[in-house]
Amino acid sequence: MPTAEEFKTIGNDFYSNHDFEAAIMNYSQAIVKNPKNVIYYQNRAMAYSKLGKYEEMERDCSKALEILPNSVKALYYLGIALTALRRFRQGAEVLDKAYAESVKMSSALSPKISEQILLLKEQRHSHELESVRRQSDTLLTYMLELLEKDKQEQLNELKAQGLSGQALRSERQFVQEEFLDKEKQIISTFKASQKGSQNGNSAMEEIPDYLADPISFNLFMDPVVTPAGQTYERSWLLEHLKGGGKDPLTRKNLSPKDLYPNLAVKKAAEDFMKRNGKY
Amino acid sequence: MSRARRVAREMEDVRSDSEAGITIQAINDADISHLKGTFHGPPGTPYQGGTFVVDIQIPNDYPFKPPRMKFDTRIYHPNISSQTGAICLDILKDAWSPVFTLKSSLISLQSLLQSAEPNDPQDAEVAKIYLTDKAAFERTAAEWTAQYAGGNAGGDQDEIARLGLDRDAVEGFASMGFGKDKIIAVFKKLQIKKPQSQEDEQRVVEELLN
Repeated sequence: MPTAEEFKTIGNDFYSNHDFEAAIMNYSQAIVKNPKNVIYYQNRAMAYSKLGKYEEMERDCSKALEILPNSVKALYYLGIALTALRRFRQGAEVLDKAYAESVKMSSALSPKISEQILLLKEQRHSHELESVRRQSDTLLTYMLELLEKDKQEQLNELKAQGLSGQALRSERQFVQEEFLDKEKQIISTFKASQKGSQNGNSAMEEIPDYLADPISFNLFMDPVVTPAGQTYERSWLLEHLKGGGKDPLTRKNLSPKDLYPNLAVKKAAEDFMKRNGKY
Repeated sequence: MSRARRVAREMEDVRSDSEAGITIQAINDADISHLKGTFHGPPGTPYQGGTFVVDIQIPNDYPFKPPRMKFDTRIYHPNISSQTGAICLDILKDAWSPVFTLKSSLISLQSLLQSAEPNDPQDAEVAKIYLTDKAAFERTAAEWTAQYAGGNAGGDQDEIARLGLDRDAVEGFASMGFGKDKIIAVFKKLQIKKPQSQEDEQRVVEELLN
């Protein structure tokens, strides 16, 4: 019988061959043998994500975090799962924690986590737009139903007034036309307001250069400023500084402790994200 | 995911700037790790009129590591291997910075064609010719441009290099108001690369006025 570690190795082989089902079976065997190793849960979580099984992924990440509450990888994976499950509020909290831990540990995952945070915000934005649109569609249907009911009542009233023949026909036509007009007006007002909330707020505004990190080209999430006055995304700059510790532009020595957060740019980037929902 | 996003943005940026005369395309749309870039040979050099194709490999840790570039188009230049297309350029090695881009790298290659560094050669053979017989170097470089880079050797700059004429001498007569084509024709007729004496000069002027 293979040991837990051996099962993991076999699982990893299946994983690299894109046989995720088989990988999961082997990681599960490893977990049976040794339920206290976070790596088995994390690896199985990744295999689940490849199959789009985000609930299982979330469960494995949570188990890993029970064993090792500050595991950067488990927090990051959990954030991915929660994003996919559209549990944005919880996902944002988890990713913030993952990011803080990752920067503290100077983990190489920091750039990826910062990008996942932006991705979550982007998806939350389009999710919110979508639900606003759906609400307004429901409201529109309801109003059209009310209008139809009103029309029927008025038509019935004409009969009750005892009109007949040519007089009835012309009155009926008048009412029909009047309601058709109203219907058109309501629909166009709704469409205009929907368009407005999409275009007015999130027009095809491009990310301006001053809000984009010159290394990742992404919208800023946690911008820092160097002594030379240049602003970079923290995690990407830190990753660059691991190889030599030089300022990317001036090539002078640059240490992580020389960096200060650029709060104004952070605010402006958040504002851009709120309006445009993209990074 | 991060690398792919940045490379896609860079390609988009190049596409939207048609004035730079630069293209970057993926060989296979699903794979951004292997690209081909092109740029034009700079005017006023033997590379003028040519379009040069550069093979670009994006390493996994791009942009922290430089893209790996080499010329697909054969080119005659002291800092580029005439056999393999390997490039000797600091910004593609130690001097790389993650704020550089594929576009800025291709522009650097373009300016490398404009100002060679024969004292830090990639191709020692080419560098030797460059330093000892500049006219011969220019002639070969222009021929290669015509042959491999689709360059039009009929352009006057290329013609000067192809015939190994002295560029300054041609420019000198041109500044007197004569057409370059005519000057080149006269040099050819008199079988000189540049006037060696006052008499030579006078003969050229006479021919030009004919």
